[in-house]
Amino acid sequence: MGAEQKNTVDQNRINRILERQETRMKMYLSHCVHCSLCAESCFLYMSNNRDPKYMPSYKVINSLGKMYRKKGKIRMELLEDMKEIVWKSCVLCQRCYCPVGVDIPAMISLARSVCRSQGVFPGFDEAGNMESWL
Amino acid sequence: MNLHQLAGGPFVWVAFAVFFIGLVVQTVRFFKMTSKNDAATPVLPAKPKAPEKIQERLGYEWDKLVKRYRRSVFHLHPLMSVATLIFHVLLFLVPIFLLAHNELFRISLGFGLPSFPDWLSDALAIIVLSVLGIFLFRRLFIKRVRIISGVYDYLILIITAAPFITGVMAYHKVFDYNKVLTAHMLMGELMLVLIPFTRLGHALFFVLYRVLIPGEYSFRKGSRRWNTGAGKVVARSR
Repeated sequence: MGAEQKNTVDQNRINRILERQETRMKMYLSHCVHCSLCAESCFLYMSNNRDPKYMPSYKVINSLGKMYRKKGKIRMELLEDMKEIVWKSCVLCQRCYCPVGVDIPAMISLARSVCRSQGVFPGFDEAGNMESWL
Repeated sequence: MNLHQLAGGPFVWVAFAVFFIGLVVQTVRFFKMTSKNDAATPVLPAKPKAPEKIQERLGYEWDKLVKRYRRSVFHLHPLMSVATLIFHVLLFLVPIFLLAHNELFRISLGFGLPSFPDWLSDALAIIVLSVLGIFLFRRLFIKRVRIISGVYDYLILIITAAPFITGVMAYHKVFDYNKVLTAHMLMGELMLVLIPFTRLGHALFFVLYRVLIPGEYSFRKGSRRWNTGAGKVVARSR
């Protein structure tokens, strides 16, 4: 959690960010066929014993997908859950492969914007966080 | 007019109308959300010249093919890739070139396409169902697929399988022929109506995304790019 972390979320701000690319993102979410063929294209999936939680599709479904499913009515706890997914389980290297052509990095990037707008991002002082910044 | 007559009459035309108009609407929507990609193409280093001698050229082309295969999803998941490819091709071919469908077109429109013999269509429909069985198996028993599967994913599998199951049942006269045939028509019409507006829409958007939008994995250079935002506001007013 960032140092200036608030306990409440600014719903309007989240909605404004989500609405900015709503049609495109909802199209992507709707066209992801949940085939899992994107998995091996993620180096974090490969280097974490093929843990399905590192699959690009899993990361998108459980971050931006959830945000749209909840129609922007997101609680801070949910953003905190997503923090690990959007900031640590993905480095936005943009190498994920989707057979359908869904732009996975764009979706993670938007989820990051929502988190950042609410002060949910990794802090320098966070325990166990040092190596990820060096 | 009973359900059988409705399913074989007006519903067919409504389903085709929704299907085709839906595809056009979705395509127009895509083009409204994107604009011509006029970004300069990066200058890439020149590729090494292919050898001219036929023997060397064959080896060169073969190496290229092997390298491309090794980098592809076909190398990583051969069974799933081949099954998926066959499934998607047959999903179009079987209903389009089915003798019974084309006979009905001949009766109502005066023309029909050439058709597969019935035994071949029957075998191909069973292949489609077998691949759907593989998809279902993956969803149920492979952890990485199960973890991202929801009710909707199973529903889409059922909706896709239903016209083929009922079609095979009708052909082999399993249960009451008329009832099975009614179910077959209704399920086929349901699938047609849902294609443009649901996850099944990847049939259209797969082409739009991977051919028209430039990217590392696009099939072509890509001639469109997303408008800034490409969201509600942009799509409505600009």
